[in-house]
Amino acid sequence: MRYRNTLLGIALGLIIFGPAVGAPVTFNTALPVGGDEFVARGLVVVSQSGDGPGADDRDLASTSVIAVLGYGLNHRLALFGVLPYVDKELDITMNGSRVNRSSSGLGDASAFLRYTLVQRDQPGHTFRVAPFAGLKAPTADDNRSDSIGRLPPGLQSGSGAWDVFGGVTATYQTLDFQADAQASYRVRNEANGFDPGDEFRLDGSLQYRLWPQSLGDGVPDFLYAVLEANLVRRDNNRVNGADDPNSGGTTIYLSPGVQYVTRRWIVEGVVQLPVVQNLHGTALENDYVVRAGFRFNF
Amino acid sequence: MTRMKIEIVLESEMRKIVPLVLSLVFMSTVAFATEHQVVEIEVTGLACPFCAYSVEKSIKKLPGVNCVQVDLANGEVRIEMRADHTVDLEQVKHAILNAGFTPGEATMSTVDE
Repeated sequence: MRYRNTLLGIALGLIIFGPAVGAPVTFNTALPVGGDEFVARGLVVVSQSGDGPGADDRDLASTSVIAVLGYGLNHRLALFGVLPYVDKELDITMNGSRVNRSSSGLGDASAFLRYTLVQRDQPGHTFRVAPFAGLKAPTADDNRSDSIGRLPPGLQSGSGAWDVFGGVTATYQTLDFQADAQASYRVRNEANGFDPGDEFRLDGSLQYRLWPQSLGDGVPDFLYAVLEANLVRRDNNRVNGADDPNSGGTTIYLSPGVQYVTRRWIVEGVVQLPVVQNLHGTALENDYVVRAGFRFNF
Repeated sequence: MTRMKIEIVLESEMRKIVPLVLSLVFMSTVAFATEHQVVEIEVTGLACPFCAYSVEKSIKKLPGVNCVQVDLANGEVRIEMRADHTVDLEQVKHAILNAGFTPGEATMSTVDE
């Protein structure tokens, strides 16, 4: 039971807040999707966790391939759909022997709406604020088993529950740099006797144009240096109605990376490094998260 | 003697034909010269290549648009219409708004091609 405490949080946290359309790599942006226009994003997220204080020497590796499609219902309101494919593998010592448990498959699908509430445009820069809200549906399998028995919730492809989430994103973009910030909350609901703790996040991102150093005519490609920070606070999980003391806590990531932006394509990557992990009990600590992907404006 | 007569006749005919051909070339050039309407419009809020493309493709959906060029550094968009189309400035502004940006002042002109 101990090792499942943070697994679900890690997997689901990566799924929803990573793959949105816009400039930050690890969370949303308030930049627009044009009315009746589509923007697509593909993202690979590799997460490694294995520094837990428990005696069971847990080691969790997960790889998610996430597809996102954004559609502009009008110039202020955009609808996003998210569908992940998740592969998870857990190595753990049980009764003195090393055990490997794994699963892979489509994860739970999500959709959310984002509305541009504030738009202040000036020549060469813009400031926008956009609240968003969405649902995660229990579309994936949440009842997988292996030779040992039913897989723990953190290793299941789906959570089995409907989740709701929402927040607000602000973006200030100039020709030289861009800054984004986001606050969000996610209510994670119970299924199969397991109630993962709710999640609160604060995110910040700064992108600075490295190249070209000066702008000429037309629309040149941009190369940005990216530095992001993410504070993730998760409540304790509840199992069959009782608090799990070895779950939840606060993690702060620093995420350096690069982003190459053309008229139609964006290619990007960051490494999320946990600089603070104040987790409860023997909750599994994260080693790193790597995110790499592209966006396509079509 | 006969050969000289032929050359004189040819020279005389050439003097008539050359101006005629030149006139025809000139007239056809004038007849086929085309005028294109061009709009240069300020767009505020544009600050990255990805956004520039959104504006470009929104304007390109308008009827009669031949070419759209975005100047990111100056926040300007140049729209060249096809010869048989006139620009509707309100439609252009609406397309920019629909892309999520703000249209500013516009100047219109015609260019010959």
